[in-house]
Amino acid sequence: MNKVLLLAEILTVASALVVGFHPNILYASVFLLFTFCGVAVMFLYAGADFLAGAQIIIYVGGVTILILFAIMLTQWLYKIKLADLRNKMILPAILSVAVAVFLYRALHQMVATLPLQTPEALEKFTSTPKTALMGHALLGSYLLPFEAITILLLGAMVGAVWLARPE
Amino acid sequence: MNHLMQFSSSLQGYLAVGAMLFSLGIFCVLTRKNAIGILLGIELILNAAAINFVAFSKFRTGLIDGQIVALFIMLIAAAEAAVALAVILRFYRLKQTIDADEASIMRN
Amino acid sequence: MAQQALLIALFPLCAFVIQALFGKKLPRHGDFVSVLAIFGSFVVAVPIFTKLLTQGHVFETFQVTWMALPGVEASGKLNSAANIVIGVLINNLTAIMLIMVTLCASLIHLFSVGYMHGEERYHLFFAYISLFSAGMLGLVLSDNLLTFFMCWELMGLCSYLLIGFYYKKPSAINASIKAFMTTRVGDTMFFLGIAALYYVFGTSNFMELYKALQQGAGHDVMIAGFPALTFIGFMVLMGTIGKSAQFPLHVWLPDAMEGPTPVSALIHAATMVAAGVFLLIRMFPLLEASHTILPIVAYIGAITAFLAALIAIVQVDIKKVLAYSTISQLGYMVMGVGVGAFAPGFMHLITHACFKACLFLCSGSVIHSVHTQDMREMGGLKSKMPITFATMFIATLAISGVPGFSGFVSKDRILGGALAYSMEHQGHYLIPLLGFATAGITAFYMFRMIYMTFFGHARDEHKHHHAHEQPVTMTIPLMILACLSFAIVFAGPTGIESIDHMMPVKWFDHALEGAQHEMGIAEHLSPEAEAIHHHAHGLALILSLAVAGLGIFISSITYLKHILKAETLKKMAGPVYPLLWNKYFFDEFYIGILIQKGLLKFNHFLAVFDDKVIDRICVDGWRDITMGVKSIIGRFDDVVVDRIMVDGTADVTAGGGWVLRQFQTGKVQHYLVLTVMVIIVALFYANLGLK
Repeated sequence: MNKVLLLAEILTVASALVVGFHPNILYASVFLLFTFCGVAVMFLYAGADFLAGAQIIIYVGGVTILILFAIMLTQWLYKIKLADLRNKMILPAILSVAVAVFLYRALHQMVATLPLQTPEALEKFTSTPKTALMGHALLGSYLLPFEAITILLLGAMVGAVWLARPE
Repeated sequence: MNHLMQFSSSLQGYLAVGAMLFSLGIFCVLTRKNAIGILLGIELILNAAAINFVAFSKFRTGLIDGQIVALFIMLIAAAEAAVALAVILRFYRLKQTIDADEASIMRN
Repeated sequence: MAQQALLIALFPLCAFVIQALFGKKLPRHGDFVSVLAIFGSFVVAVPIFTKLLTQGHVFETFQVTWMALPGVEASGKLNSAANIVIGVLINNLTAIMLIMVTLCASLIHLFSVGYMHGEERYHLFFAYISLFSAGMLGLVLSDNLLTFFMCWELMGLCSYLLIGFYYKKPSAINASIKAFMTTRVGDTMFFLGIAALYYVFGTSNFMELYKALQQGAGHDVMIAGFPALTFIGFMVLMGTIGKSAQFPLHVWLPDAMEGPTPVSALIHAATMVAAGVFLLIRMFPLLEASHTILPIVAYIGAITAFLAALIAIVQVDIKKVLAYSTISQLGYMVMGVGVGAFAPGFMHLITHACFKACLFLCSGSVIHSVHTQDMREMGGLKSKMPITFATMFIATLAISGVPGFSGFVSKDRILGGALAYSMEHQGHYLIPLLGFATAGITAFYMFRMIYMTFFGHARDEHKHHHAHEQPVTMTIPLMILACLSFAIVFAGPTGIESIDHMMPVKWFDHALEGAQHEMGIAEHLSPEAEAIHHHAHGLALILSLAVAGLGIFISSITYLKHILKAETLKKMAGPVYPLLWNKYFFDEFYIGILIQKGLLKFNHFLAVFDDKVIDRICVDGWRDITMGVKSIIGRFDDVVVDRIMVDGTADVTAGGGWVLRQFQTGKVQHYLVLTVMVIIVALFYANLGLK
């Protein structure tokens, strides 16, 4: 079971590397899809079953397809060179590595000093179905943020339609 | 190998993956000229954040608050993607390109 | 009533504004606006005149403070001059002038509708004559010399515009410039006179001036080495000489005939030129107080009358004859004022305005009909244009001094006054002599004009064939003006009881007596003087009748019966004829000697002086000094202020801007790089804290 999680994590990171480095935006988009899938598996192992489903539906089924549409709408697939013109990579690479190292170190140090759940509690949390709990939480203590998000989505939809309207 | 599998299922494993996704997202955002590429990087960054929330939710609190926030992140990401793509399409119609460097002036 | 009287001048002024702005767009090019405006003025003027007739006297004033001059009060003498007060003065003279001007102007406006029909710039013509009317009426209404002078100049401007109305004719342009420049000589002096008057009396108001003169003010003041009153009087006289075309500034008036004929009638016969005489009459108390000016006035008038009348004999242009006749008659008026025959002078002003307007309009009618101004191409028009002939004949009788017509009354009284003057003041015989001679010559050339135009056979068959009587709008003014040429309208004593009794109304004389009383010049003749005047007027009546009859007789036998050949007269005249034909070479003198030899030489000298002395020494010298100082200041400015302070500040700012600009590329990824750097720094410190 841990093997699956490890494979998912490797898939996630490897796909993310392709997303970051592949010169072709189309390939990068497709590999982003794999990243999202890997993340979904990670969610599943972290006891977030509902979230994993949502991740697949929203990202894989929605956002990635949207991005692919955008690519095809803006670049003529066969004519235009899909390879991206890349900026100089050295500074971004250094910065990215530095961010990764410092971020991980900071979190790692922090985690080491914090009390964590016991393995039994972890097992119990993971095995509990979360859908009903999420539903109650969203319509209970998180009702206000939930409503705010719905309004945000409505606004985003209207805004997107308005922006993309024909002249 | 066993050690690696142990690490992968621990909090640190999640955090490491999150950090790598985050840095790769930043790298992607910084290096791509294509506006859609930048959008891909942002999605990676948001996912990295979501992973951290979910991981802490499990390993630290044992509650579903972190998962709720991760859900909100997803929803916001979806909204952001929709608006961003609309903006990109509009920009493409205006300038016949989606090079982010071209978007250096506010006026038309 | 005085406020309402302002309307008289305001109506034409409004008409001018409307015409000038919208005239072209109005139906009929807006001629009705001007005509209605001047008729409106006439209607407003009528009650004032009726009041004069019924009550024998009007006196109304209305004043407003135009400018309050602060700080003048402190300087003592000029106390009363602190405020410039302008206003309206309506007295007997004003009332008569108003009715005369508005009536003549109305009729001439009406005549113009027919005469100018179809002309280019038709609306502007009416705009100009409206403005002119406003100026003339404003002048008549003025109770002070300041507004009087403004209106005076306004008329000068209108005269310029209207003489040059046919702006495509070079001669018209030249004439307009000549008229403007010549009158300017007089106007400038007149303005000096006003300034001097203001200096001496501290007012320019007529009534205050009369009062001050009665109290004997101004007698001990000297200006430029002359007694102030003489100086002012002379300057006023110069104004009159310019405006009323008196010798030696008469040269512009004949040339002014280049303008349309109604303009000649309105401006150069009835009103504007009369303004000069009106000025003399308004200023009469001052002229009288100075003692030395009045004889000069009289001589100028007499000489002008005589010389102009002589020139008129040889003219062949119908309008030129009338132009010289106008100068001559104006000379009469000036002479009348000069010899102290103030009332007859004013009367002649009014009567002359009526019959001369009539004559000019008649000539306009003839010109409009035969399309020439040359009398040698006319003749035999009597049957073709009966109304024009009848009216013109009546007016001619009036100007020639035939008994029963208005000209006879006024002219006879002027001549009587002149004769009395020469009897009182021994040695001034030339004045009445020239006066009587002029009377005869006037009768001669006026009848010559009538005979050449209307009698005899047609000298130009073609033109004669096309001649026709004018439409009603043009003949009605002629008839009304002809009616005003009868003596009965003005009446008044001629000095002979029997005739006086025949004339029922004496309104004119009553009015003038009142005016004289107001001005403080009421005549109190001693019994001897009374006897002299009585005697002189009796003699003058006989003499003027005799000379007029002689003139008419010679004219008749020459131009009507052809007993005496005109050529014979010409031969008899010998060298005088070319002298007259060339108008005594005045133009040649002015242009050839005064302007070219004198003025231009002087100009040249001034130019050289300006160039060598003022420019080279004063201007250039000052420039060199300034340049020297400038270069020192400039160096300091350049090095210290500009280089170090100004440029330094700019450089610092620009450098800072350059540094900051490196972060402001507008590219989102550059901003992101910076953001990430900040994140790294924050994380770095987080790591430090954790350790």
